[in-house]
Amino acid sequence: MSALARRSGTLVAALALVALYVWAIVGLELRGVNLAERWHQAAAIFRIMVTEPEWTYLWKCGSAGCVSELGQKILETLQMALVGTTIGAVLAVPFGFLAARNVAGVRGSRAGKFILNAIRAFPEVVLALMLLKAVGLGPFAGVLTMGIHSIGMLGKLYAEVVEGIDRDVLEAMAACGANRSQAIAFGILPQVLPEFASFAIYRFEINVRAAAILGMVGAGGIGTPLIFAVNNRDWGRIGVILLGIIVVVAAVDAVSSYLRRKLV
Amino acid sequence: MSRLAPRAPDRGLFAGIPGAPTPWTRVRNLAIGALLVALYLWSAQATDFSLGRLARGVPEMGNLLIRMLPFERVDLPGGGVAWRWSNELLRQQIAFLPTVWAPLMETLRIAIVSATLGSLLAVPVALLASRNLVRYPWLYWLARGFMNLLRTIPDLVLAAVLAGAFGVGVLPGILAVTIFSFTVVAKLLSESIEAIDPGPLEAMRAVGANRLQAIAFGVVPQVLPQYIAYVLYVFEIDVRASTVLGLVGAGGIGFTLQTSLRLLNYRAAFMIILVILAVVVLIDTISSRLRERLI
Repeated sequence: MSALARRSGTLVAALALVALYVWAIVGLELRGVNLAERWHQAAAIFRIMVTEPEWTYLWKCGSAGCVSELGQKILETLQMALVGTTIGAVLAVPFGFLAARNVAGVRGSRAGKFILNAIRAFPEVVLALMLLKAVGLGPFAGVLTMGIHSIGMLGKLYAEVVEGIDRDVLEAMAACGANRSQAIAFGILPQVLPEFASFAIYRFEINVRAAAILGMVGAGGIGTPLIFAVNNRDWGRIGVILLGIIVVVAAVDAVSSYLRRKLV
Repeated sequence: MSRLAPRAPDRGLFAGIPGAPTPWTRVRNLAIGALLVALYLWSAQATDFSLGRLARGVPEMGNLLIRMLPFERVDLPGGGVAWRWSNELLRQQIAFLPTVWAPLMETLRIAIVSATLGSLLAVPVALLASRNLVRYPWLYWLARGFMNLLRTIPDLVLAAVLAGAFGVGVLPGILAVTIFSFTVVAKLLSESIEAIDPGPLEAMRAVGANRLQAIAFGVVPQVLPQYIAYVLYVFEIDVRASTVLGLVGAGGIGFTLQTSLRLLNYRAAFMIILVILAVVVLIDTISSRLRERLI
């Protein structure tokens, strides 16, 4: 390519980019919005969240003993993530093998990966909305959503692990007289399980965040009281809930990365 | 089968080899396994997990699906219900598509503006969160802590809270996705900067360049292609995130989806979901093509 052609190509790309930004910014209906006023309003709200948190939501002692509503909801969120991740991690195993090139062949692998990508492309919250209609409000719908959605990512990662399998082991097993299921149980699984487990733990991290979101559409967990508090403009409670989410997510991230480092 | 069944490893053979299985590791592994199973059962019970409900949900799901497709409900004389394909309903569904255009464009605008703002804001913080550039550990840990703190808040939670604070509309959507993009790009970029070849940086310092010059000529050329790839990647995620912002009042096509679901207009909802899927796949494809060409 001549220097002139390259330079004019760059110019065209730059102009297209500028046009894209003009289109994007001009089209956003922000002109009627008084930014300064909105900012003052929001700043006042953030101040309430930080200075007047509703600590009784975190810990309240009455005649019937002490309760932590926040703790209960956070626990439910973690439990949802655990069950959802486990379902996804188990169901992703057959998908992972069937989408691996060395197991399913080039065609089969392409078909399998297409299905997994389709699952991944489907927004999780939208899936939750549909499952909520099917099984009703509550954490069960959230668990199912995470279970199904996790298959997309985990299946793809598992397939990559399976594609990296050392096949010599299989041959060695066959040479010792192992049959096919024995060869898989003792030749393949020990190779892939640590990595499968590591990816599943990583997905648990993602699902804890997802579980917090799913509650906002009615699928159980900490999101439900959060969205109620937002609708009731209950800023003190929102502050406590956000604090809870931050602490728990940070703790889960830390534990998860420690476990993953030990595994692989 | 029984003749060839694998025997338990002969520990005499492994004796003295580090990492060899001992009865103790087996007990430990069993205990961990039992604990996991118990934890799992307890959680399944607490989250109302039930195969019965799942089985009852499957026909409901089918029912929902058929109401999303152009099938007409026909009440049979015997009291039953049948569904009949209707070209008229299909025509209505297709005629609904143009109304999705404006909110869809709003979604893309939110994603473009937020990905750009977030990526720009990420640059200074990523520089401060790179161990090889920052002389003061407290500054490094401060930048890192700020990044990690923001990263813990799920995107839609942030959008909901900001929609409450700033008022419903595109503004909270842009802010939420901007913050989200910022956390993603800042983390990836700081990791790239920490992995650069220190040679050019040292050379710049050796010839007397100041800090800004050293960064401009010793760091930027090394990480620029990766940075652009991260911007495209985050734009890809932002499109996904922006499609559902409307569910919490933060603008875009999600609001249209929520409205049609509230009105029990499942055929309209189906078209919106199709459009969301098509756009997500299209943007993913374009963005990953561009990224492949970059690196």
